[in-house]
Amino acid sequence: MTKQADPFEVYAKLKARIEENKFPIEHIYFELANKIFPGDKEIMPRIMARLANAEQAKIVAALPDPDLPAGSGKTLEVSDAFAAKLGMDKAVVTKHIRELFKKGLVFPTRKGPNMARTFLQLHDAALGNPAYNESLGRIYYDLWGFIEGPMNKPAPKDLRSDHTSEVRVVPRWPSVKDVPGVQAFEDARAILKSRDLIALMRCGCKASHTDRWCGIPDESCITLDRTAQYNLDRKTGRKISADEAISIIEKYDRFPTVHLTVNQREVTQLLCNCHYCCCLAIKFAQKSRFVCEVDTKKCKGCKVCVERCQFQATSMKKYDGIEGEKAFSDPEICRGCGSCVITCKSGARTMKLVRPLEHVPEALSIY
Amino acid sequence: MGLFHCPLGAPYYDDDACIDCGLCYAKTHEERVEASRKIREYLKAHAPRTSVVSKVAVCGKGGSGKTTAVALLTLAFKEAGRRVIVIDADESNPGLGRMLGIKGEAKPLSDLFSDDGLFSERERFSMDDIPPGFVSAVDGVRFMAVGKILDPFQGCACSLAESARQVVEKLDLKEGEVLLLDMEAGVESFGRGVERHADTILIVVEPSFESIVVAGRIAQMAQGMGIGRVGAVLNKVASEAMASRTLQELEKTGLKVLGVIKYNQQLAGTAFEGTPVGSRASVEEAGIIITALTRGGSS
Repeated sequence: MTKQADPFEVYAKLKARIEENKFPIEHIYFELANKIFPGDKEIMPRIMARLANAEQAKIVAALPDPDLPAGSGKTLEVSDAFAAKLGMDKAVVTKHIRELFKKGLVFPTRKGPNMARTFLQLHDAALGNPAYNESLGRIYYDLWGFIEGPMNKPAPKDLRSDHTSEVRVVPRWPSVKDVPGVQAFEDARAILKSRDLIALMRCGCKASHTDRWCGIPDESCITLDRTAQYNLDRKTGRKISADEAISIIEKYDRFPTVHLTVNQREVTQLLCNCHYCCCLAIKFAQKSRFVCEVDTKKCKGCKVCVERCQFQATSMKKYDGIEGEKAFSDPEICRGCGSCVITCKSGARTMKLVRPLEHVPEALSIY
Repeated sequence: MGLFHCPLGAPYYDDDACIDCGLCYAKTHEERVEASRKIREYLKAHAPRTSVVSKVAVCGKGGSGKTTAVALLTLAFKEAGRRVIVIDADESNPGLGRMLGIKGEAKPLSDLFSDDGLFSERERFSMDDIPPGFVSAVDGVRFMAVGKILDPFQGCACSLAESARQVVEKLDLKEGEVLLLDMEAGVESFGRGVERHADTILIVVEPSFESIVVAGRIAQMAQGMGIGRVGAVLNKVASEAMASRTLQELEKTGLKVLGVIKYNQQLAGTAFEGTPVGSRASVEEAGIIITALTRGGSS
């Protein structure tokens, strides 16, 4: 981990950088931005302006193609009529659409090429492709990062007791492998081994926080199955085996990363490697079924766990009848990520199963 | 990366996997509730990814016919196109090998997992890693034995059970392979957590009160371990009346019955002789059980 920074200072610098690099925006970009982030006149239109040049913006604004023959299936092709209406050569339109596909603004849907439907979809798709780093420029990534606000650690009171979320914490597997009752859906190795396809790619969230300080490598986004295929199709990811993926997450033991995935038993798209300095989802991620425990007899008071905890659950405290200060993790705040357990050199930390199977819903039915 | 929150794994809206539930663009609580409802309905209608039947532990009260059932299932799995690996994890009774037609004796697996054994430090292994002498084969079926208590005062069976547990946990199966375990009678193996890494528990039940009680206990323990696929097999059923009576009692335990192996003169004969299973009808009954298993039979 590089030196920890003050999140508010970082955010202030980010804001200043964006102010310095403000550039004028043509009207068409407001139009595009309104489709997914209505009302924003500063950030999203500029993001659109970096993603699509003038010709491309015209094309995207006109999508979806109403003249596409029915039953075309998933495609990036457009009809002759569509190109004609735009006054552009069809080959040129196709070339632009393919580039926008690679950038993550346009998708080969069942209704032909179409723009991202939601803010989150655009965020997740359009931050992944390092091939366009230069043309997008640092400002593009900064704009995305700015939307999320200062990246400070979740405060203890951030999660209500009846909290629901679309993402959940998956414990680091070495911390839970010997706990009786561990299920496949919370065992990172089992999750990876049961995949049809795995693609490793650059983590978009990390790319959008250009001043992040966690030290986790850029290429830390493990995409799965259909999402993996999507990223292989647009060449933003490279195929890896389950064993390679497992050894990659093992390498991350030295970073205080937290695995996140969708909050249901069937893992569908990603196994993330997150840190609070570069991931917003971690703030509201649902707890795993575990909490960590400290054996005060073994604790040597080295304080590594206090640093490792991203949720501010861990501190040093004076226990009755025990000399000096020993580590303590508040079970109410602890989200069961296992980060502190795997680095405890004295073996003083273990994970305990504290929530029933129902805590992780079968299907994302938190509403 | 795509669309992060999609519970169906669609990387973007209107992808093939997208069912247009509306969750990703829902703006109000009502819209989200409605979207969740659509997702649940969709998932119920389309069976979720169920794990392939690959590690099957066959349990039950002593004398219920586990070994015979394992022998029948071996043949039935073979006919279903799987490559069968059978492990005799019974610490006392030596009949399984003979029933499968195995000649000679395999070295006990407990040798590999003892403190200075070859596999004592290994995290995982596959069939290819096992040294010669430990695996016997006949007709494409591979057979291994955990070990037996042979001598009085040999000591407790802990190391044998521990070896069994380690094999179930650490053996990596290749596609098409299926592991069948003939377990120790009763619930002892569960107390030791041997079955934890099995994905299927088959409980052999004979028409007796005790057998049903033990079956119920095993089912509870299996569920406590989080094993999803647990089913019962009725064995030694001599009449319809007996079958229905046993089924009635079993129903009270909530256990799903996957099939029936009828009492069969030929089968009983071979069980007595300890020779390769000789009843075609019984193998077919086992085949029905396998079909019920792989179609998602679980309790």
